[in-house]
Amino acid sequence: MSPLSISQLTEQIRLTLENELEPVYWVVGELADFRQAPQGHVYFELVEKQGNQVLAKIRSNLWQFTYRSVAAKFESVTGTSLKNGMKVLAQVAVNYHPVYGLSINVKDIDPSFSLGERARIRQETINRLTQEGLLRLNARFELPPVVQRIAIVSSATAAGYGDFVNQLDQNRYGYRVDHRLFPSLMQGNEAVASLLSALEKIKAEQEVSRLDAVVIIRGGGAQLDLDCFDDYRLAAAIADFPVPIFTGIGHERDETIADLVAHTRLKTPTAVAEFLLSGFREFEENLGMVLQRLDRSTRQQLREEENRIHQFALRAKALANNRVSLEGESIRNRMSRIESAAKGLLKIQSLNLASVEKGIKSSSASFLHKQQERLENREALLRQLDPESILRRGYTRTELGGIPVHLAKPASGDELLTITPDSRIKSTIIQIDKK
Amino acid sequence: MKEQSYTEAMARLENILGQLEEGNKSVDELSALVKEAAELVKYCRAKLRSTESDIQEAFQDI
Repeated sequence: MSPLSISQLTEQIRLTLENELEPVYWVVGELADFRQAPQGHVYFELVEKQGNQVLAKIRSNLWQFTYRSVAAKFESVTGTSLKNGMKVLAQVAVNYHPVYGLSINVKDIDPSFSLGERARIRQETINRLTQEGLLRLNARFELPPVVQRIAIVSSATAAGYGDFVNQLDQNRYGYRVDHRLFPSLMQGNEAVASLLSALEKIKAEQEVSRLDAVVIIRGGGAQLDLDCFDDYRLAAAIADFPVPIFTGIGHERDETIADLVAHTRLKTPTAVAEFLLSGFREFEENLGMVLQRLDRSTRQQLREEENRIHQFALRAKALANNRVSLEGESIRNRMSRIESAAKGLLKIQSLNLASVEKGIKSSSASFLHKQQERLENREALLRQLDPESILRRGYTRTELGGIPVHLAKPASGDELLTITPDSRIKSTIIQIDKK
Repeated sequence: MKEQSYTEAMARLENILGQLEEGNKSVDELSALVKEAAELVKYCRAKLRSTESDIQEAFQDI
């Protein structure tokens, strides 16, 4: 057998393949080394792995025309674009080219397989996080009543970031939220590494910055390519982060795994800002209520105190009144005793007086009577002594110069006047004989 | 006034309210407690609207 030329051999191979193989196959493989050429054709490899070990791989082409329709269908169903690491179910035709060798042309890709595949991977990640106790680890933090110091992980140029910051800074209540951006890619192959590095930076500064929370936001832009938020490493980093993490990734489809592990999951950056501000509002409303209660309880306390003082005053007044009236009573009592004692005394005195009066009367009467009697006696005596009566009884009165003769010093020759009841006799003393 | 977190401030306010609502405080104590509570509310409101460094400056004299 004479040797074949290379082209003869390759032709032989091509014919064999053409005869032996079906025109198309459905194959399952993982996309690797995915790249789009400037003309729009897409080249990649379909790989079969066991763990990290590559068991088989084959060069694959997806021509521009096919790629457009396949990619559009894939994205609308799965919400993500074709990319490395993705497991796909592809309809392929084996192609052999004498220069370029063996490759396959991809005719179609079944998006529902990838969707299921992604769901499976997602579930596996969730299961793993659950087993490792990471799923609600970040949720263990109790949020402070006011989340005021935050780090923002976002793309600086994203519309969502600008709106978010604006919403925080321009809030109509004048609340101040301290925020700082830690820029990160939010989609594409580098997104996970970029997000992890942003989180690392925040963690390294936490000692100094003492943040209340970290906010991961991604607003606006395409709804595609959220796979980075389903990544296990990102989820684990969020779960184990030392402060609460909020997500506002802004997507329509089911929650990403980042949402599941986050402390608080909100749909959009706007919702995150509203949530943060509502914490401020609630706290301030509580302050208002505290003030009201303070006011109420203070007033009540003062009222009670005033009442007590009033009661004291009333009691003091009543006691004083009572005391005064007791004193009055006792004074009246004494007065009436004095009065009755005085009356008694008066009565005794007047009795005494009466008896004295009576005594005086009776004694004066008897005195008068005695005087009367004496007078009468004297009268009688007087009557006896009356010179007339004496004279009538034969006695006479002899006077010398008007003086009774026994009182005068009669001498011989003196003229005597002798008085009888019915005559006056003048005589001259002849002789005086002394007894 | 020492730097307080919102949580601490609210806890202290609740504590003061509790004491007042029990109603067994003297008027002298009442006045001091009400003053403290009012300061806390003022502090919190200011803190909601400014950075901590602003706050520290504002309350330097208190």
